[in-house]
Amino acid sequence: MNEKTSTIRSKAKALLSLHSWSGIVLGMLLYAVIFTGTVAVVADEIGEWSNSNYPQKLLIKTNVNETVNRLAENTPQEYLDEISVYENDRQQLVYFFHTHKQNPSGDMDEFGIQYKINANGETISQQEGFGSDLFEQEDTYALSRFLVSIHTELHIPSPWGLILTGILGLAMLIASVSGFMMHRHLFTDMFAIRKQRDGKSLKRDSHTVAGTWSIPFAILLAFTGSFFSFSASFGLPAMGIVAFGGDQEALMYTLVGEQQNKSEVPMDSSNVNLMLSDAVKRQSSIPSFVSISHFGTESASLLAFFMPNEGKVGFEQLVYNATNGDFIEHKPLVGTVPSAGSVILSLIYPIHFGTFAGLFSKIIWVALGIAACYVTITGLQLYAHRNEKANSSRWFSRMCVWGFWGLPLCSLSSAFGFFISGSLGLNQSFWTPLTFVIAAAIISILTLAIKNISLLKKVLLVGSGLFCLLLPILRFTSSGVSWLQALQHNMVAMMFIEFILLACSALCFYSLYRTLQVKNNADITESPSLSSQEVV
Amino acid sequence: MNASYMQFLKNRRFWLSGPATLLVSLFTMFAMAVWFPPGVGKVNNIMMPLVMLPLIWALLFFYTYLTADMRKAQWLLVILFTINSIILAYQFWG
Repeated sequence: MNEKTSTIRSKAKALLSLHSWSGIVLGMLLYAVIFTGTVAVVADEIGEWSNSNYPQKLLIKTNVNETVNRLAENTPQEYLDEISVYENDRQQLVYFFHTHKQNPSGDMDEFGIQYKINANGETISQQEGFGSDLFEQEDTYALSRFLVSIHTELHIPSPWGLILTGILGLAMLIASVSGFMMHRHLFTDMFAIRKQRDGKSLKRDSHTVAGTWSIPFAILLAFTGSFFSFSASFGLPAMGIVAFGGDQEALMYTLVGEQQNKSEVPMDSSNVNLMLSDAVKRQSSIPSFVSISHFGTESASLLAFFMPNEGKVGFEQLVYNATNGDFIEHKPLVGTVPSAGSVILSLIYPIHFGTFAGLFSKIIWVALGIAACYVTITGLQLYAHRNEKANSSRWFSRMCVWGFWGLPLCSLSSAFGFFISGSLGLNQSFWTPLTFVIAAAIISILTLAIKNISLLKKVLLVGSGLFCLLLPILRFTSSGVSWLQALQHNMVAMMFIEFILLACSALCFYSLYRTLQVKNNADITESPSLSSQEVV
Repeated sequence: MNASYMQFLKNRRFWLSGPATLLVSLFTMFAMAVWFPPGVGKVNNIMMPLVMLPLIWALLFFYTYLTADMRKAQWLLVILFTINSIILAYQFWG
């Protein structure tokens, strides 16, 4: 009996040690990935908000068939291999006529001509290049793309950024699973904040409660996140080497589910508009994008891709025979016939990004993401508290303030950079990340210059509160779209982001008010000690 | 750097739960492309190992980290490594 108890105790001790170290060693980076991941959940909404846009349903409201045929006449034959069409956040339809070839990095890429067409069918711009380059230079998505990119790769060159975020996913898996295994009273821990507690004890209770609520979510996200990172960085190519002897093209054809030898015999394609109307009727929603393969040949086909629809969790792909307009099949996400691998893959994205029930599930995902951020913050703060007497701990506390309060401020600054560079007609794809870097440099200098950590935290809080307050105003001055117009046009995404920003601003100023109030009370009762100033 | 920070390098469990577990998990994933049933869609042997990598790693990691019998854990990793290496060797050179 004694031996059994001692084994349980030593395992509990080992789990606690594992939980602490996985958090401490990678905690700050983990916080960066979780915070930006929380933002990435609403990346589509940020894209619409930053362009003061709302979906115009141009894919069904404009004459896509006429435009495709008109553009095809003036486009080199080789680029008719594949035509992708989607609506961007600036009320334009983007037509990308392309073929596939290796880019300078050695990766298979799309190469062709991209046309941007407005609602009246007029060509706004025309650019030739690799798909990855065109997307990188696309100003429409400069802000949302930048924020998502921090989450997925931490802006570290490929594949290292992806590998690092994959490792962070595994660290999160360790921390959450060990946290789960350590709990002896899982259900009571969900409500374990003791009112009479304060300081370190309150922080420990808060860490436990937030951690307990977010454990299932953290495990799911850590698992799906590390899958995304590892499969994109080395997993898929490595599986291609093992299963197809390194023939990456054969691997892609197996996954995409397309026959390798297509007939290129010329043949008129069917009316694209009719196929789109049929797809919309079948799914009761507008496709996110459309892909037309081998246009003008007897192998022509059309694929309409739908985000998770009402009552469904996974993606939907409808395939049409583009020579006669007949509906062929609901295509699985990978391969040609339904499979376990395809079902799992189509579930992983909605689970990771919370897109399975529209804005409602995204709000829940954002809330759980904030809880996970809070768990990381309180975990590192607990470590700082535990070692508050050590000299290095003061630097650790300083680093915590720098990271926890600095990252949101830098992200808000990048939005500032996006709007101001847009107003001045500058390159938004260049200025958005640069503003982030400038803000990070200023915050780092402030972190080193301001000796009092409490004051540093207040400065960063004021900065974040002000930026959250000013961004809706800046958005309005740059686009001229008011809240009244937003309500008239049912611009839910834009209103949602503005509401979140104003709520965050109120939270920052309330938090500042509370901090000042606590300090005033402490001044009355006793003089502040060094540790209370130094520790977060 | 304080030498005490490097003490973990002398710990056998660190090598077992760290690099050895990672290596065995990767080899298991690669070998699954060979032995996992591809299904009618011919994609399960590609997608399932990728999805299962974090799970395989987590299972092996927690087992090797928490087990009292290190020798047993060590043998488990050796057996898994050997089996999967043979499968991969047969796939490339067989």
